[in-house]
Amino acid sequence: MQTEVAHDLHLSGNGSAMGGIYRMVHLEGLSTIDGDLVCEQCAAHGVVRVHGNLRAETSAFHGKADVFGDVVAGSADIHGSMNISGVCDVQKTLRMHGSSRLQNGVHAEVIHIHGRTHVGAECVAREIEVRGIAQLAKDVRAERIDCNGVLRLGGLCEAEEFFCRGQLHSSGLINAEKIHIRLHGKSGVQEIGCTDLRIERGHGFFARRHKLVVDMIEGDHIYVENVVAKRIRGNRITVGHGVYVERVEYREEFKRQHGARVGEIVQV
Amino acid sequence: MEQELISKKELLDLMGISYGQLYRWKRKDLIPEEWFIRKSTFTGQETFFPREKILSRIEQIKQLKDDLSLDELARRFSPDPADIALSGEDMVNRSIVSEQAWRVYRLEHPNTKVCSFRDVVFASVVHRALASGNVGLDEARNALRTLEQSITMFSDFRMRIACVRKLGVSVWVVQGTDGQLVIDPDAKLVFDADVSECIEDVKLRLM
Repeated sequence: MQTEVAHDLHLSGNGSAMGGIYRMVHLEGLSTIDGDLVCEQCAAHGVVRVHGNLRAETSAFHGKADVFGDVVAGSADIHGSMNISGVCDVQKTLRMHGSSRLQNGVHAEVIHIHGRTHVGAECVAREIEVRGIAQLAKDVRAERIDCNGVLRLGGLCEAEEFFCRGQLHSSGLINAEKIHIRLHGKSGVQEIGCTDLRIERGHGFFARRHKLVVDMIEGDHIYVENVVAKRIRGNRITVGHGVYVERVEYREEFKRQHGARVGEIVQV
Repeated sequence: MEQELISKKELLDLMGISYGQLYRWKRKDLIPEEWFIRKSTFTGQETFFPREKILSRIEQIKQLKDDLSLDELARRFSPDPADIALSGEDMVNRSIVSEQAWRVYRLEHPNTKVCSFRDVVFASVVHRALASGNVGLDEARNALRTLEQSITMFSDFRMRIACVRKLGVSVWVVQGTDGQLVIDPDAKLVFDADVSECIEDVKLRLM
């Protein structure tokens, strides 16, 4: 079978096909694929259902797509709504515009989330860019996470650089070398551990209302604004405007700016 | 098994490291996730570590971090260093096994000259069993057989091995680390070892 040249697959209108090995796959309209689909290039427009795994060098989905299996691709562009029940493994860039649900985890070199995305399991990438809403229900590992919008983290988050402008919710630890957060909205984090931390309030009329509630912050250099914290521990700590901390433990330096309330200050 | 714990604050003071370093090492998997033990104290949630393990690990990291990159260090600490090959003398010299234990190993595998990581770990378990003083030579040999047969079940070495003896008849039991073992009240638990602890020990001696 392998010696044969793989054929192309074109489906238009209301079509269905069995899976198999193809060169180019073009799906238009309402298409259903039964079985595993392996191809070099996959382009889908309209409503697509794949009952099986999908493997493609490059893949592009426009419209609504459901894959009831794993997706392994060199690169993937998703415009519209996408639902992947299995693991999503992309070698290079995974772009998602619109709303997507990746239920069983995602691995990629670069992940762009524009719109709304839910990832139900572990998320591993070199770079994660969010413009919109990202819900990452389990652990996240990346070198760089850059979020403009809303980021909801359900597990551990590890990164070298972590930037967030907008809202941030996390029920686990955020562990990064460098963290920079600009608050635009109420946020809540359980724990932050880092080397450099900078949390600033956003601009605008209601900016002073946008607080970040956190249980514990631990880091070397810490600057916070508009943070409500139980504990802040570190070497050099500066608390700015709108901060309320129950207890600060510092080693080298502690600065309190005007408008910060601190319960207990201890040098260790 | 109760082990002595050390709080995070105490650890940082004792070793002279910063929060940033600790979190960086955790990110690079130099410190396993399981060592972060969360407990609630009167000041709220605190993190504790198994005292001896974390102190020796951080001591090693501090010594080696100038010569090796963090990724290289992580590879050293990672559970399965694939390219390890040790001869019997090497193992005896590094006191991974005693000569007696090595002889038992040779009885079971007469043609073995060089041991892979897996074999080294098993030989060290045999050594531990013999060193405990409660296990005889034949029994230790049986332990080796049990381990080699059970490794297909526990491919990641997360297992415990125990020796139970009743009326002079001994039986080896291999179980997952999280499982509980309840034995006949008349029988005696002669020996009990955590294989992943043996691995930690072997790795320390390999460095």
